[in-house]
Amino acid sequence: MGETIVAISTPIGMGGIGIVRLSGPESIRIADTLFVGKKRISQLPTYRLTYGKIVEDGKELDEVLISVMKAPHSYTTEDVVEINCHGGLAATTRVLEAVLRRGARLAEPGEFTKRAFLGGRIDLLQAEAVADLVSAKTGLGLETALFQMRGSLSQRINSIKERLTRCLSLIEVGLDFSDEDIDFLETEELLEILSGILEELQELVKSFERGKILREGVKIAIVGRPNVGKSSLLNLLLGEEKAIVTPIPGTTRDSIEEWLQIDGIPFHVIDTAGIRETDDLIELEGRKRTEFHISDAELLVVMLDASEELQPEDRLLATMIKGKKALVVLNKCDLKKVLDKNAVSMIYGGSPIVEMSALKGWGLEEFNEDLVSLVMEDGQKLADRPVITRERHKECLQRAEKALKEAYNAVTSGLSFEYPAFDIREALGSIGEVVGEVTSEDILDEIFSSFCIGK
Amino acid sequence: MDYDVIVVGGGHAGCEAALASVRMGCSTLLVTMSIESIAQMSCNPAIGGLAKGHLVREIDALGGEMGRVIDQTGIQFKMLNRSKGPAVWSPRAQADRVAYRTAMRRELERQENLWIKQAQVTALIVRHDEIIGVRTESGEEIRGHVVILTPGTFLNGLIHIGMTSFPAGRAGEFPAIGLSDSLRELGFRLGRLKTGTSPRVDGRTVNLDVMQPQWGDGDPQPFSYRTDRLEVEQLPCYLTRSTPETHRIIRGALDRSPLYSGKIVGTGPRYCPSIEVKVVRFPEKESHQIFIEPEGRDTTEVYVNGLSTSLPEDIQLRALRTIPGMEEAEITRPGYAIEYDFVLPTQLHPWLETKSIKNLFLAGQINGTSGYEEAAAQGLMAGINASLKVRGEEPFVLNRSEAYIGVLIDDLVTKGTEEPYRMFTSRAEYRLILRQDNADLRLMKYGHRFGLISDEEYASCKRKRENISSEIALLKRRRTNPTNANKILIERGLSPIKEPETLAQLLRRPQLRYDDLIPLRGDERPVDPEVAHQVQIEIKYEGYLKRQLSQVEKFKEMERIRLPEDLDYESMKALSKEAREKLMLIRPESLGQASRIPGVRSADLSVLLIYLQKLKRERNSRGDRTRK
Repeated sequence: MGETIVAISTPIGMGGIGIVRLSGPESIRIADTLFVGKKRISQLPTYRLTYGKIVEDGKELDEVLISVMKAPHSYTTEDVVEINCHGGLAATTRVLEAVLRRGARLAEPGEFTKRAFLGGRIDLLQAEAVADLVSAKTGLGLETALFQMRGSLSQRINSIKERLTRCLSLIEVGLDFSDEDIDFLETEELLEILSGILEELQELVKSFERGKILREGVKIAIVGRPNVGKSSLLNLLLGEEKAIVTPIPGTTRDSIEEWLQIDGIPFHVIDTAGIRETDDLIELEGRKRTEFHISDAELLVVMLDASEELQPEDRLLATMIKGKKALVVLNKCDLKKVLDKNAVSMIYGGSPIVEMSALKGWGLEEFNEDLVSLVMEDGQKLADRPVITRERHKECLQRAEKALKEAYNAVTSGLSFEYPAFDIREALGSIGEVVGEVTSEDILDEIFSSFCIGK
Repeated sequence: MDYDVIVVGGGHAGCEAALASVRMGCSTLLVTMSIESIAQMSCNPAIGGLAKGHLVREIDALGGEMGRVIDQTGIQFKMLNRSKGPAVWSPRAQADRVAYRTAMRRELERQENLWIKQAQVTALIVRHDEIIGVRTESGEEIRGHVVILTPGTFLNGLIHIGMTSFPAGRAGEFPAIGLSDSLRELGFRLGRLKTGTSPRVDGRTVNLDVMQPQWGDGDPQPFSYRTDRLEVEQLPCYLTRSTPETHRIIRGALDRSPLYSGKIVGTGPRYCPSIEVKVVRFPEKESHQIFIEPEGRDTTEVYVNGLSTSLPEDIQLRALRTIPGMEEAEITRPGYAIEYDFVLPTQLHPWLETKSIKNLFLAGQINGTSGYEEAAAQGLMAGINASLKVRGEEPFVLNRSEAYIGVLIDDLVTKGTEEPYRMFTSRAEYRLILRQDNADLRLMKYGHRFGLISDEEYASCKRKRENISSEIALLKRRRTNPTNANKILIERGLSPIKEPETLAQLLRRPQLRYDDLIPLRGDERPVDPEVAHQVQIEIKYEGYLKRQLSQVEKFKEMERIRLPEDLDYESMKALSKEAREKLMLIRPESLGQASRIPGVRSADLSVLLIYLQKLKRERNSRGDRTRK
């Protein structure tokens, strides 16, 4: 096999922890260039977790636990290094990217298992299951939103592919049929076509950052004074949505982080209930924590008790969350309603209000709808906007981008068009890894259907 | 007597096949339906052209004959695409049709162990899935160890001129009847293709004065590495154009066109459409180029290139006469379309032997190609492989990164073809290194290994290679100071240098050529122009060439993974249905070849890889057990 491969081996978008797994002859060397701990990885005993930091160019990417499994005593029978990232998925992705920059290649779907089979680690039956998995279109049956989005994304990439194919055919016709009586592509036209495609490609590459929502989830904090029903709401959300990942202690010590999915969007929920029950909101320490959660979250769920009048704490909370996106929940609507909705919308101006009973399960649907529309502000469904979500896709498109830049430079420096054609082919090759290959027959088809060729 | 090799057909494929075979020491019989027509050019009298010129250079480097014969008999030589980069330059020559034929026949007859016989082969004699000879029309049986079929357009050939059609292999010649049936009986799947040719005209009735003469190059380059220089008096071609009136006449006669009335069922080439197709498909175009090409030095007959047609003869004449300079033209031979059978080439091994019948080889148009050069290339490869077969040696296959010939044959046996297949440079993914200028460096070693290239010729090729590398090293080493370099740079209006630079660095500037640097080079013995040309390419395009070479490395890795012939694709449930069917049909030699089969995706390749490893492990463990 030779090459060293790497991948995030925990499902993306779920779970607060991420494992970056390397396999191959260079795993240990690559990991050593990034790991700062008491010992070098090459000196670590096999199968032992060790604490340290991943540091690249002086910048700390994450605190990690690292373990090494030396060949042949590993899953793949090669040298394997596992980096357990603690800083959530953003950090995991940063670590992955650093490893890629150090020369590892992104693993293909099922490649670890394939290596395991090739190394004689698993039997054929297991390997065949992997083969089936590899040939299955959607892999692990990812979330609906991701799946839908892939549709519009592939549309977009396909359109880039078609434009490149067309561009290449315009070049090729001038090379293979230069003795024909047809109009050939001029340098200026080619540059214009190339820069148009480059722009679109760059925008797509950038959308990888936009796709953050899908990869990392939306961080929400449930806030409110004690006993308004924050825990009940969380339990309701988790109970309804089966897509729960084990709760893990987060970076903020006294709160609980949960992962759940609504409409395919991963939400990262911080339940601040654990501390509020004992702390007085007015108290400085408690207030500091609340402030932290409010500033850290992208979206707040403010809970009020509908069976009581507005309390001073509720009013204080309103001033604290100014400028943040929030959804106001009037809980306990199964009880006698005392709270004046108008008064609430006065002090929580602009935020949508949903009436529910977390205990009885009322109003969950409205809650979900309001939450999703708050995330998708502009009313667009996530599915309507092509966003790259996969590292591999981004990598392919970046390679295409690089090749197209080469093509552009080749043309401006006056090279004959078979050189930019080479670059464009390379770009098409990279794009083809995402949406399917373009063959030379496709190029010829394009030529014959658009030009009058032949003596 | 029994022959080592029997070649059926005396066209461009047959001639190369027979010559390669006899030169490799096999007693060879060439059976043709007409000895006069050996090496006949059925269509336009020209050799080479874009991408085809590459093929001829490769044929020559391997020790084939086409390049040498056209060098002797060409009447105009041109390097096409000269304004572009070296990878897409391609030589083309107008040929004296009769002289070409004569020269090729002379070469065949010079061979001691090569026999030529006029007869029609009507059946193949096969025993236990192995060919043992052929049967002729008269019932004679000829025995041979290996048989190469190169029947061109003759298999059930059917000529169309207007609504008239008649069986023929070429204008004025009988078709090959019986052979198609014999192939079908042996289980081969056949298809039907169509091609066409232009009318020829009495040159005395053409007014060339109103046309634009097209001259060959002032410094004609030979096709053959073994031709020192061309000393030839070149003849011009002439350019004229069709007119709206030409198109009106053609449009008015479509009801008598066999193409548009549905009489022709075979698929024609898209790159070489007849004039009626051009007029119908591109109505916005008011005029098409027409080239008047001389048929030879000893005749006034001319070929009307650009007017390929199967319209009735009266329409051909009327249309012709609307073309400037052709107002009084008299047709000597009308244009026509011809339909013929071909064998679906996916039934062949990459060394052109059929998969189902041992020792039977096919080459040329029978495999679905068009063009003299494509045919000759296959003929040569079939001839070499037939001889290797006789000797009991491993087959010889060129891969896609080595030669256009490799691209050609790999495309045919891997993808098959639905129209007459013609070579284009865009088919070659490693185009930047497969140049017409380095075919010798790429391929002469093989030609030499088979005894088709002499020791002397090969020694000179090796010398050239050494000179190229030492000159590159020199240019990379030798620094020039700004004073000397700037004289040259400023003279050419280029920005001067401040620090010393190597000559190689200077040569990378697009505006500078090798010759410009000679004053800076020092006293070393000057290199010859061919070496200088290679050096210039290697240095100027070093970045691109390196990237191309690294692609080649990846390609080779895939080619190295062999797929056993008896691989049980049917049981591989993880393969997609389409991939499974295609793989069973084509039975690729390597994972690389499998990857090029349309319908086989990368997921299928992963599955194959897994099965291969499983096989290997099973074999290993079985090995262990037997040792125990």
